[in-house]
Amino acid sequence: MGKILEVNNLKTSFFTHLGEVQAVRGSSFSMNEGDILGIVGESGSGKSVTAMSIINLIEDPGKIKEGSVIFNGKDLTKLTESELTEIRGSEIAMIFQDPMTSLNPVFTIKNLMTEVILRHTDMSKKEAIAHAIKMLDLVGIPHPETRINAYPHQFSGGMRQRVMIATALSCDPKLLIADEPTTALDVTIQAQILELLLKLKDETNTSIIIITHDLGVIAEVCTDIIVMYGGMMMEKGTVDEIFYEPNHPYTNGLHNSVPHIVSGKRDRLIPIKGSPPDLMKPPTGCPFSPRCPHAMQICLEEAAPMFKLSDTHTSACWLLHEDAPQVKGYTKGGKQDD
Amino acid sequence: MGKYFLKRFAAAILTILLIATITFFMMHSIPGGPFTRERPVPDSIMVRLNEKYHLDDPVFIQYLDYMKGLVTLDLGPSFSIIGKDVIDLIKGGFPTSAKIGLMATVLIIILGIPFGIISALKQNKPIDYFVMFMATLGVTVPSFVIATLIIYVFAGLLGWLPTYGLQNPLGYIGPVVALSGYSLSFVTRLTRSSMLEVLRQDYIRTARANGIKEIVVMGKHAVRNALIPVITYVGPMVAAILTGSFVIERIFALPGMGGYFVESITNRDYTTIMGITVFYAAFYIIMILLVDVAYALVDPRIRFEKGAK
Repeated sequence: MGKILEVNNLKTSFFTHLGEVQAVRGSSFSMNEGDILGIVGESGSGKSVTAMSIINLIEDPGKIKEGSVIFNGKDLTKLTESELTEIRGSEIAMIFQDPMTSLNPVFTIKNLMTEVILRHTDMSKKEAIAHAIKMLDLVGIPHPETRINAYPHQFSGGMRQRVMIATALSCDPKLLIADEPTTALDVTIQAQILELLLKLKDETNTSIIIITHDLGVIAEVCTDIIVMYGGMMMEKGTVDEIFYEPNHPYTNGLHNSVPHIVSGKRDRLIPIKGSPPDLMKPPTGCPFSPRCPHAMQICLEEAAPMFKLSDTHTSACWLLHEDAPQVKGYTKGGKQDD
Repeated sequence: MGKYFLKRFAAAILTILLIATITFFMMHSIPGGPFTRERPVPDSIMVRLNEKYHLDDPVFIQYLDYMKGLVTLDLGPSFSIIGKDVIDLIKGGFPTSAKIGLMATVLIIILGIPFGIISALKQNKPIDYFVMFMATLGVTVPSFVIATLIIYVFAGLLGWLPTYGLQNPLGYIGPVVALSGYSLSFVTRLTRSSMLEVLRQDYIRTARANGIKEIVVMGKHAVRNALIPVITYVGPMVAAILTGSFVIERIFALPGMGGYFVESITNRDYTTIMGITVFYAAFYIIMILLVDVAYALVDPRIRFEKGAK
């Protein structure tokens, strides 16, 4: 399985009237074909901007400042806009958070889907319609031959998200980026959509990036996880590593703030105190240091490098440095990875 | 769908009758009558005149008489332009007003919408500032100032256009430009803000993420949504423009309907006031009905919501 995506030191900023908002401050990761990568973090952590940067769809006044996004051997940050439109929707597809507003209300599903198919393939109009119907059937829309003539407002939220997925997968993309695909849906529908994504992944062998703030979603479907905070990557590892051997105080904080339902026990949630950093004036050190229970002097002065805990598991925390004091739960002596 | 329009049609008739009623009683509450002059008419003549036109009947009887005529589309004779029926006045004045108005409407739509779109796409660039400056000017400068300036500069100083009348085709330019100034600017501003709003919508991002070419994203996905508020404004605007502007018709000496209307009010020409008001109202209501049809064509959500009931 080859590498499909490699993001190196990606920095994206929004140049507003008030100043530069550094939304992403140096993300680096790579993913292999067939991976399902989860990017998790709270609002403003830079996860959506990371995703939009991958397909280079940052809207004004935003700009990719530095770094590269290597997809299939091409650096997407270096392509022209017209080269990018060839890739968007065909090789890399995206689905978004709110299916209620993400489909143009004045066109039929047929119009919207065939537009994308005709744009990226050589199919005739007739073939495109047949293909669209097949895709709708694949994502579980009943009576696709008639439903294809309906308008978006005639579908429920879950159905619309299925339409979004059908459209996104219609040109057989190698990579699907799902930005909070279940956030706007009911819990039961959430499960259905996630199941659908997993099923389609097996059928089409598409790699998927799922962006979410919901650890439950991540646990359910992902193979690898990146935890982001304040525009930086905090921890990266496989699902098991992030859930069973978390090695970053922020990851631990996230775990503690998820309710656990155990009968008879009455535990309070442990929230993470404070609020995320102002990305207009990001802290010089680790972005989590102002809220971290274990913060040391160095945490305030310098952002931690990625310490390597295993081949797949890295964490940006000074506690892992060999000179750091021993804190229970944090493996010391991880190798510094640069 | 058919049932919906039937319902709308019934409501329209009712509205017109209501407007006629209100206008009738308001008009009669103004002191004086059609034959009141600065130099008083001798009483004996006044009595005869009132008798001839049934103005000596109680107001309520006059009202019933008038409504009876209205239902059979008989608008009655004019009180001050002797020997002419109100319907003739409308037939005489409306074509001129409508011709000027139609040209102004076309100008407003073919210039206002593209200007607004360009302005939105080039937001905060020099061209946007320029268009917005012109549009602000157009909204704030009254039409009679524009009209006077056109006459002064293009008819007077340069001699390119005639100063009045429509005998020469060039004579249309002045009235059309002066008449469209305000609405053209308004439509430009409306299209721009509506377009900016639409460009922020999620479905525009979806289209871009699907690799749709930017020109198609704009031309297909954005414009159609952006036009919905513009249609709302354009419908009633067309009614207002087509039925004539008193000021413009005065300045350019055009034989339009606006002039008759204002004169009829100062003359207490009861039948003319009523006739033109009812005509305006009917026209206005038809335009609003057309707007609703246009909505349904542009926005499928409206079509189905109403069709379902």
